[in-house]
Amino acid sequence: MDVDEQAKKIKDWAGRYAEKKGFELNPDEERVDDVAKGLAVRQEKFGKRYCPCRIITGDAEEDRKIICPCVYHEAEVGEHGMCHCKLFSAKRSSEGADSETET
Amino acid sequence: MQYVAIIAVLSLLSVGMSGCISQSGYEFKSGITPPKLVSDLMKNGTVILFITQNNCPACEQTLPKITDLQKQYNGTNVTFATLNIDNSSSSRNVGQVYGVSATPTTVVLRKDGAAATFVGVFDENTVKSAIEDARK
Repeated sequence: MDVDEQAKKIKDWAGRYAEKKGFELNPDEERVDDVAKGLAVRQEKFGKRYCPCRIITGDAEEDRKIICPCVYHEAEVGEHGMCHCKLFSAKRSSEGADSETET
Repeated sequence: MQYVAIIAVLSLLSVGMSGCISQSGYEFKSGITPPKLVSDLMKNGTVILFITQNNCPACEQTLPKITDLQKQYNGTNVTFATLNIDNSSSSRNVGQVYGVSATPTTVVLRKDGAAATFVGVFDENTVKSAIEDARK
C-alpha cells in the first residue's frame, strides 16, 4: 500500500475514533491530511503509527506512548482543545452548528 | 511588632517571586552546557533554536511565526537557527541536550546558556518577551 492510500485509511480511522471518543477531527482538513500523511510515513518507515510531531526515542516502551492515539491526546484535547499534532479537536458547540442551519 | 511581621512576610514573598519564572509563564533554566554547534552560534549574542522534524504539521504551522520573528530581529545580535533532527546527528544531539520530546520546540538561549523552551505552536508575543529578556 502506498503512503497516500495508507494516509486515507488513517484519516478514515481517525474520524471514526474521534466520533467514538466524543471529539472531532480538526476542522482544518488540510492539517488533518498533513497529520495523516505524517502518520502514514512513520507507519511505513517504523511499522507503527507514531505521532508525527513527537520524537521516537528508540526505547520501545517509551515509544509505545506516542503511537496514535497517543497517551497524551485526551488530556491535551481537554486542556488545549486540540492534541499536540492538531489531529483531534474538542467537539465544537452544537449551538453554533444549529444557528448556521437556521435563517 | 505586627508591622515587622507583615514586612517580613512581604519581603519573603517578593524574594520567592523574583525567581526565574516570568509572569508570562516561561522559565530560563540554567545548568545546561550548550553543544558546540550552539555555543558557536552564541558567540554573536542571543540564539533562537527552532527544532523540527520531517512530516511534522505543527512545525509547518509554526514556521511563519518564526520567520516573522526572524524578520523583526534582522540586523540585531539575535541569531535564528532551524535544526531538523531528522537531517543530522548533531541536530539530534542538540534536541537531546534540550530535552526535546515533541516538535516544534523553540529554545531561546541567554548569553549564559540558560534556556527557555516553548513546545508546539507558540504565542508570538510570549516568545518575543523571552527574547527581550534574553537580550538584557
